[in-house]
Amino acid sequence: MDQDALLFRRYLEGDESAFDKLMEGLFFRLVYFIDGIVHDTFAAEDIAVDVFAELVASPKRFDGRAGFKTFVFMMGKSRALNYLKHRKVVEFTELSEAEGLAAERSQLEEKVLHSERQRVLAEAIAQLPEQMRQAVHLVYFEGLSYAQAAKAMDMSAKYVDNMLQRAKKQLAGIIGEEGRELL
Amino acid sequence: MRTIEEFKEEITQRSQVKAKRNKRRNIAVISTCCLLVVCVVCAAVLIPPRGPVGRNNYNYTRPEGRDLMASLKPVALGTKAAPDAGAKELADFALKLFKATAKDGENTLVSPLSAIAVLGMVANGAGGETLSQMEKVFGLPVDKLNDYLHSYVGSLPQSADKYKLDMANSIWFRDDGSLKVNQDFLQKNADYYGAAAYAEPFDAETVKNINDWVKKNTDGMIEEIIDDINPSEVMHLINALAFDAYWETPYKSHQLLNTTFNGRHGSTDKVLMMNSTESVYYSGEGFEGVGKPYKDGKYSFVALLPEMGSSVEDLVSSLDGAKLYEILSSPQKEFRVETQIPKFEIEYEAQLGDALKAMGMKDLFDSDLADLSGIGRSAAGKLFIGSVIQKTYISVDENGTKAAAATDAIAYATGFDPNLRFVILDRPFLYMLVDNQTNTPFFIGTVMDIEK
Repeated sequence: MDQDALLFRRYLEGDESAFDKLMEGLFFRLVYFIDGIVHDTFAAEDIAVDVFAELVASPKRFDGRAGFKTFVFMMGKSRALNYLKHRKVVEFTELSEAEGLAAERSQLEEKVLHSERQRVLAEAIAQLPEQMRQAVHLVYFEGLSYAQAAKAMDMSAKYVDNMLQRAKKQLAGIIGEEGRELL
Repeated sequence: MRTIEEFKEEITQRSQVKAKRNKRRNIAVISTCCLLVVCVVCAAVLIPPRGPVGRNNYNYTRPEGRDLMASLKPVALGTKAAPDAGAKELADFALKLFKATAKDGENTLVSPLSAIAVLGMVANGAGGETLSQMEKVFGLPVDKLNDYLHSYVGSLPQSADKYKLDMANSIWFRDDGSLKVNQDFLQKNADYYGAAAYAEPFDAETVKNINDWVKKNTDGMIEEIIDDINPSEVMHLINALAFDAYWETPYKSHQLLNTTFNGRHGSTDKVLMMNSTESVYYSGEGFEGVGKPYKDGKYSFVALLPEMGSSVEDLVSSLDGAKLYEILSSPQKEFRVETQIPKFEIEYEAQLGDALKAMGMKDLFDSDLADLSGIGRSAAGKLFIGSVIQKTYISVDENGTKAAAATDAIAYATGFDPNLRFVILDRPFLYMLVDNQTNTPFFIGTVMDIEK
């Protein structure tokens, strides 16, 4: 059982500090991943809260067969896509609202991207097509295996592998050879 | 940005709301096989209203919209004994659909009968490779499927105050002149499926009308099937099923015990367990099971329990249509079976498109390859099926079982051109020869018949 799954089990057995550790390790990273899909940091926060609330309310949903992080990101992606499907188009009526969203995003990046290298990569992968970006994010930023990333994205591992090969080429084009080495 | 502690507080509050909602539903994890078998058995011993499959919707009052069925009368096809071909093929389809749809470790509920009713209606407008693929998945040619569903359903008895299974079908399409629907397609679905047809503006009011129709025809168990309609959608083909039956022997209060259910990964849920002694037993490699009849024994709840150490997924993998049909056809009646069934209630929603594609219906969902020319023509180009949504509901308690399903196949046109119209002069019309300078006719006539 992976470390996060162990923490979750300890939380279910009554150890509140285990849940704090899970939140510290995963929450903002989940928000960042979801924000890459919905492009609205406030909405991403709300969706991430919903994912964790669902885990607390219905812990049996996690059966331990996928890794805990894989499971959480899978739920996050599913809810993010659902959000996009049901979202009404909202137009900002005031510049301050757009500025507020940008500021929130910026603070999120500060929490999640810990090095200049990560920042450079984040900027580069933002230019990739949507699914390719998600695959790179899960494998590079979140450290999931190809199989785990495939499960989180509801695709075959082979497809994820192909996408990452193509992503390497594209990243090399964007930020030079370092992009190829990063993966 | 809020702090992690603030987010944690919000998570705690929201989880309490979710937990209360879950408790009200009294959801329990149950063997997905039980649910599959309930669906298959309900399908296998289906009782329709008398007459053609589906409900006669002429009495359904619609305040707005043109009811195209006003000009179409279903041809009375008569009822005959259900042909032998059909039952095994449908059991096979049912199991394949379930396997392709079910999510490991999650409660699942699908209605293969509701799905195949909708697909049968679609198939009546399909041609070429699209139709071939559909027929291969059905295991039957579409004409045999029409015959089978119509005859099977028409030949079963019913008793309104002890058990009922109502089925209704409808076809809804965009009424702005951009879509021309073949009358033959509507007539065939009226004859075999009792389908009502509604021409609608496909606006917010149409969304409400469709959802109202689903709610009415599922006895309120499914309140809505769609959230909105997007501009590319041109047709919705919908089936609604409502099942309600009392147990042959209802449970008495001393037979109801609060105990625990051992969930998927070791959790224990508090459930109300319903105890009884039954007389229908099933057994086979890796499982044993029980059958509990509803009133008059026309329907049953059948549960198959995998042996200790093996999983529901293993059991489902080991089954195919023929094996399941064999199991259900071979109950053992010489045993007394002490049984506990938990009270439970489940709602489920599935997009069946991926499952149907995996089963072999690829072209139907392909905007370039789909051949739905038998349905009609759209100004926007080829018709194809964009999605097939199914919502289901079941509630099993001490009195009996209520279940419902609604399936919606949504047809899209490849592009939507609001400025294109059809005017097809295939019925009596007025014509004129007009002087464009003066905009006056110098000949006026009518065509009522085309004489050879």
